Amino acid sequence: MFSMLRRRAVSSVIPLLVVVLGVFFLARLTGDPANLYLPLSATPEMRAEFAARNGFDQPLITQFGDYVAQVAHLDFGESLRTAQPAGEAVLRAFPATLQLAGWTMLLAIVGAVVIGSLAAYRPNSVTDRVASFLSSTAASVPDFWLAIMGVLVFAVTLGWLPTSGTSGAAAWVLPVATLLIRPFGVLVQVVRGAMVSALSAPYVKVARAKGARESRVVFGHALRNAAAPALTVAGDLAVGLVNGAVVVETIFGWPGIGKLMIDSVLQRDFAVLQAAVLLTALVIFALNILVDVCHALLDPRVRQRAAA
Amino acid sequence: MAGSGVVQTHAFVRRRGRAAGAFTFVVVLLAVSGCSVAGADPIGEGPDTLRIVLPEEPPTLEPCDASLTATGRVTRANITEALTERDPSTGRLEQALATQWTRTSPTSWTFTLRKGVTFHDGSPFTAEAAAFSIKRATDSDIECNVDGYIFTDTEVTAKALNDTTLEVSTRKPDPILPLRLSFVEIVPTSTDPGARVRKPIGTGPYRVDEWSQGRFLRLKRFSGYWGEAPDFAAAKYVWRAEGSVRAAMVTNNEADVAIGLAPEDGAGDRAVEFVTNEISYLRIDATKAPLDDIRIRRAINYAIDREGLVTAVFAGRPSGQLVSKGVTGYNPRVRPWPYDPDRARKLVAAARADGVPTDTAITIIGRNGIYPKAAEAMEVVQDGLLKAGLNVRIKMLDVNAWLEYLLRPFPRGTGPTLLQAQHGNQAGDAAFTMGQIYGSEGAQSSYGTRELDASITKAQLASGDARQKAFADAFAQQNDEVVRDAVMANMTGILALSPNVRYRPDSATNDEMRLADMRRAD
Amino acid sequence: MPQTDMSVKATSQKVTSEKVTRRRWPALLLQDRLAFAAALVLVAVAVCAVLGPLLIGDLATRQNLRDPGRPPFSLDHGWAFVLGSDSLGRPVAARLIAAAGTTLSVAVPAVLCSLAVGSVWGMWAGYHGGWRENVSLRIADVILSFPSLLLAVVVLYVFSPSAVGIVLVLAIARIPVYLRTARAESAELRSRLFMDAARTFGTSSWASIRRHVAPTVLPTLLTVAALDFCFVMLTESSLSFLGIGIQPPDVSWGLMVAQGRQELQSAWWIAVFPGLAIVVTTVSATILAAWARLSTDPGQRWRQGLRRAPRRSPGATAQTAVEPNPGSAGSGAGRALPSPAVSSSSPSSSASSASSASSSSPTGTLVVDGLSVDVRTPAGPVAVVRGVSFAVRSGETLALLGESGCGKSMTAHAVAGLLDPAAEVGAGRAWLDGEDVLALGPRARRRLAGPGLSIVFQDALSALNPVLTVGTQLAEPFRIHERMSRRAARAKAVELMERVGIPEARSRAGAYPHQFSGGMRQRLLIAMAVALRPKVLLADEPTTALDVTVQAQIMDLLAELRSEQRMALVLITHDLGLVAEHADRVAVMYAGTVVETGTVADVFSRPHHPYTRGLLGSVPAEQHKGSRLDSIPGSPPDPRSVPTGCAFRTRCPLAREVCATHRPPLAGTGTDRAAACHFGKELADA
Repeated sequence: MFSMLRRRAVSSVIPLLVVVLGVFFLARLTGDPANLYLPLSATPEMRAEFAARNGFDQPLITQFGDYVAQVAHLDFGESLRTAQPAGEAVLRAFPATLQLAGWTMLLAIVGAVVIGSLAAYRPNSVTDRVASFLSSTAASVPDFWLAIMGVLVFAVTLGWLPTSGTSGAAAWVLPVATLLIRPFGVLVQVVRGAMVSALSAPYVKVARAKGARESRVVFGHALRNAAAPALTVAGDLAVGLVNGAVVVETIFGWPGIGKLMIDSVLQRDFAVLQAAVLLTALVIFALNILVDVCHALLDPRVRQRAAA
Repeated sequence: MAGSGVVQTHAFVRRRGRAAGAFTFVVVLLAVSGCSVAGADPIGEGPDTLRIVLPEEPPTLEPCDASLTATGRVTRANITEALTERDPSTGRLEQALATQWTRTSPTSWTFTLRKGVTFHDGSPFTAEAAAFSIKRATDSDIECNVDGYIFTDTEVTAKALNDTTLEVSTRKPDPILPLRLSFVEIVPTSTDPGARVRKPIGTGPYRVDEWSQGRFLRLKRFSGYWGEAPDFAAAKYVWRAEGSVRAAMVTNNEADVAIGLAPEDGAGDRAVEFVTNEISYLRIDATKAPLDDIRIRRAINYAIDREGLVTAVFAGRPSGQLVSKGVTGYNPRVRPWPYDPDRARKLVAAARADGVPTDTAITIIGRNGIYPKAAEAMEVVQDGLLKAGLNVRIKMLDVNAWLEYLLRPFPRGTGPTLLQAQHGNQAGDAAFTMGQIYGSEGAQSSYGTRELDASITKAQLASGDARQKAFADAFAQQNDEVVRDAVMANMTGILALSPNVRYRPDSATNDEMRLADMRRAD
Repeated sequence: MPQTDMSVKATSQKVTSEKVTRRRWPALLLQDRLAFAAALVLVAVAVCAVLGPLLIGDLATRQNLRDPGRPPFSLDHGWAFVLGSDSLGRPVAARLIAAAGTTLSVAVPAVLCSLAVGSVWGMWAGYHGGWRENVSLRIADVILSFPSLLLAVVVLYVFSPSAVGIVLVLAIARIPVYLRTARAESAELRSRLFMDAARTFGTSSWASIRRHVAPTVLPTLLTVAALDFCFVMLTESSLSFLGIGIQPPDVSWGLMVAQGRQELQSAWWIAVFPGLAIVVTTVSATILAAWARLSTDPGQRWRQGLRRAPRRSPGATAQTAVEPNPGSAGSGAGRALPSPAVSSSSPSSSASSASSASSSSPTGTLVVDGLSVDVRTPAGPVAVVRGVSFAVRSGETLALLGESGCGKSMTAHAVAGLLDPAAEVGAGRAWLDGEDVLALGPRARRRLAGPGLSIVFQDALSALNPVLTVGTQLAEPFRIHERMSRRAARAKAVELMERVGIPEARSRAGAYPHQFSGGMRQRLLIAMAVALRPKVLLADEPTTALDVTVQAQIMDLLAELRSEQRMALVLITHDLGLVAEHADRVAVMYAGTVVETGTVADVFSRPHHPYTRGLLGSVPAEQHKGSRLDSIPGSPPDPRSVPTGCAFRTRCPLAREVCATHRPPLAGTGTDRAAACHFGKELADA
């Protein structure tokens, strides 16, 4: 197991470098930030000075070399927008996103396992059809639409929840619910599909032939076998949440990494963007490794292959 | 043998226990960390706190960046103050930290400063601090926004004559120097002269209490303030990008003031409308055919349904010039162009008959979010121009990409363009509009004429009533003879106000939102 | 009620006969109303996309700034305004239609591109494994951890916003999803045997991917792709919102939602209808994909369009072929027993035969009486087991002998209560020590499963749970029925493993099924089945997958256990040799019914049914071992179209007119013997 972890960690280094390289050069293709940061009537001298101060006058390759050297010393540069260290801004924003994503995935997985198993228990039954229909609907509702409707209904009309912000447990309800809906819908479908095939497997009949309760049959025998595809998809969805909760963070004023990232793209705040992408990439790589470890924990055959 | 069986059983039990344990651990971890996030932003602000929701977080609170809208509306006149301040309703310059100013020579002014003023850190306000602040804003490595915006081609030196007397001189004669100085926020000499500050110290009625970045900014009433103490003991700013959410926060009693709203955001009877200094317009690239023909430019003006725009798209009043009433140089005789599609069609037809290539595709360069429903506004324009017989496409861009089209040097090979733009003259003098927008060498100017340049230069050196008349003439000249723009509307601002707060917004509210003017309703 | 039953039955019969051989997909589609509706929606969207511009002309861009935001559901201003008008006074309905084309022209190519590239790449990577797999996965990681928004801004900024650019960005961003899914599934396949075989035979990798990997992987990918439609449309929407999506005056649903979003409070219809269009289209695509998945997966096809049969009709169906028959007189009420019990010499009243069975426990530990099983199909219920009766005593081995598809496994599963959801018992009883197990509730049933009745499956690899240790699985019966502690159950499991001859049982209890050989797995399965010393053990082809030596060992083990525990053993097999060697009595099954019963010695030496005779005929008695039941001309009938009268008549050398009109009952032909043939007596006497 540990050798697998080590191998994965080592083999992630090059992709990480590729990500950093890609972000660095792509970001610089989006135009000169001087226009955004200098007054509209800035003179050519001011522009030249701005470029010199931020190192934009150097050849790109030199800039990249400097950047890598800086990062090696854990210096991520300074934000053009706030004139503060980019690393700080990113580290400040990241926990908020992680918590949001963590709760969302936790609830989505637990909910999807229950609903998906119920649906798969009797394929084509009324429960199954309703669950399939609702989950595919849930998976396709535009999230910003849902977010604003949520605010209008639960905060403005009913007054049950705060509109936005991060204060108090009630403030978590709307963001988590909005974020939850799509992963939940997707996962219900995946769990249902995997459970349908797991529940028709002979070992399930064997378990029943032993006189096992249906709960034991479904959760003890079938679920673990159905977990693998669901885990893969859940991993992808979690990755999506880590770097794509932009809409929810924007609407609910959640100070997370998604909002920071989109702002820095639009504001051409290269240092912050690079730091944010680097950190999310690290987390995403770690998440992928975690998913693989879970696969190995769930399935002895994977464990054996990994050890081989 | 039995032993190993037992060990295995234990391992088995342990594995089950571990899975459950890991699950519990994750839940607890999330819950605890969730509390920490929530804890950073305590609810239950007392009634003494004024809660304001902004469209965006101020990028910085640096005083010398106060001409940035997002920064200025928090800092100006709240945390820091300037020597002078302009009354947006009358356009007159009023006393602030300076009580009196006189022009001692064409290039120098003397200011008498207010006595008994202290900074938030307890140090006294002196002429030396004022001189330091002017130097820091106009001549330092910080790249102050104020420097570029207000003092573009002006070099200023300030000298403290004694504790309460300040002499400011310019290299070239500058008739509006006191107005320019209303943008220089005064900071104590202990401020870092070489770097932006995060927590500025000023003389204003409020001081920075806590700035939790990304979450909120709280100001506390400064007990040592020289003027009248404001009603609210504290002010808390939060920010939400979504207009409807900002409006909902006021309706839901989570905020007292929400700004930057659009008519459709649903503030209902809490909405307060006010005239801003922002003018929306289309800049015509008059150097390229067919836009180089004045008939086409006039046709464009006739083809835009301004009344329709302010009914259906955004809130505002049709306007014919780039400055609003109250700005020096505003010409009440320059009326908005009437909507006359027939005339537009005829003008285009006439130009076509003369060989003007009216079929050339004209691109509207739009910018998303420049004002509410920016894309829809351009669709209205496009519809009108298509009906007039022109060939028009729309290209909506993000800010930075759009800026490449706004500023010189313009991108090459783009064909004739119409640029969606908006201009707000916060300073109150047409000098901050004319040169850069209409001068043929202006940073944002796509086209100008020698005659117009001459009028602008003349106006810039004039003062008093002559200055007003000269700029007004220049606006009329632009509108009649050059027609470089299709000015659309003077935009109306909307804010939502809770019943607990009394506040009358004015045209400067978007740039300078005075907390001291917000009063408790009861 | 009986009349409706009859008409339903008649139609279903007709439908069955028409569609037995070939069922085309449009017909299948019509049967699933939901899938049909979904297909209609997608067709409508496609029609709008293609013909939209012709249908609506310039309505979608005609502005009316003086009267914008008309509310929906009013026909005062013409059909175009039925969904209201937007903030520029343009009719929402017309814009929806105009937007369909743009939306699809972005979403369809984007999804197809990423599906094609991602799946081919993923299958290739998974098939080969090794560094190819690793590099591909790391590339996927890179794309996934890259903010797709940055990519969008760059591409659309550098190449200026265009539909092609949007398609490109969306396709690239979604490739890893397909890549990873396809890789996972084909890596799973790689580990299976037939791929190795294909590789040994030198089939090129692309050919094997096409032949073996693609058919298995594609259904999953299609489901993912259907959901992805929505993702692509929504992303396009957010791009529109950022201004780098579809450029006006072109319009897409995403753009409409993004623009109308601002007006949710004042004019909800502007954003809600295009949002609904996205949802409905995606849901339809998902439903259709699920349906397509079902109909391409042979293992799942039976689930399609299942209709719950009326409670009794299956029993009746089994009888449709039979002319009015005194035995079925009572079928109008209660449970009918369509065929008489074992050993009854003539058709007698079902009630009496049942009561005789219940009172005569010495007749057998397990007495199955008139068991019918029906499988629900889209065309209606099909009887696969039709009135099977047999009995087995403790310490005795009864062989259920028959060709594959004759219903012998279904019979065993029905008795054990393990039928698939699509199959159900139509009629009959199964007495276990005087208790009808078919009439028991689930709880009582569970109590019997293990100590009363147990079953050994054919394929031990799939019958053992791959993710649980064998120790856990063997301990389960003790944990469930005797409420033992984990430790005690574990010790019992080790004991059991030792009993069935697993070497080093103690240390191997912690191993997983895939770490055992085929024979050892079968031993484990048997151990699990006999753990609680069941009264009856049903062994469903327990040795099919094994080689001859192991087969003999397993059969010996079963025989040992049977005599040791005084079990009644029901051996389900198609192997005559196995029956000859290991069974005491035999019940020969054909087309869902028992055609002959008796002791093995009697039946094999003097068969009383033409079918049995045919089975044995070509094979000399001493050489039964290992021979297959393939010596009779023709093939067994499809359960959906069993011949009227005697099911065997189409292959029978003795068939006469009476065989076509009357179904022969299982009637006694000698001491402890019975055969279901009109000429059974004659054969017995011959």
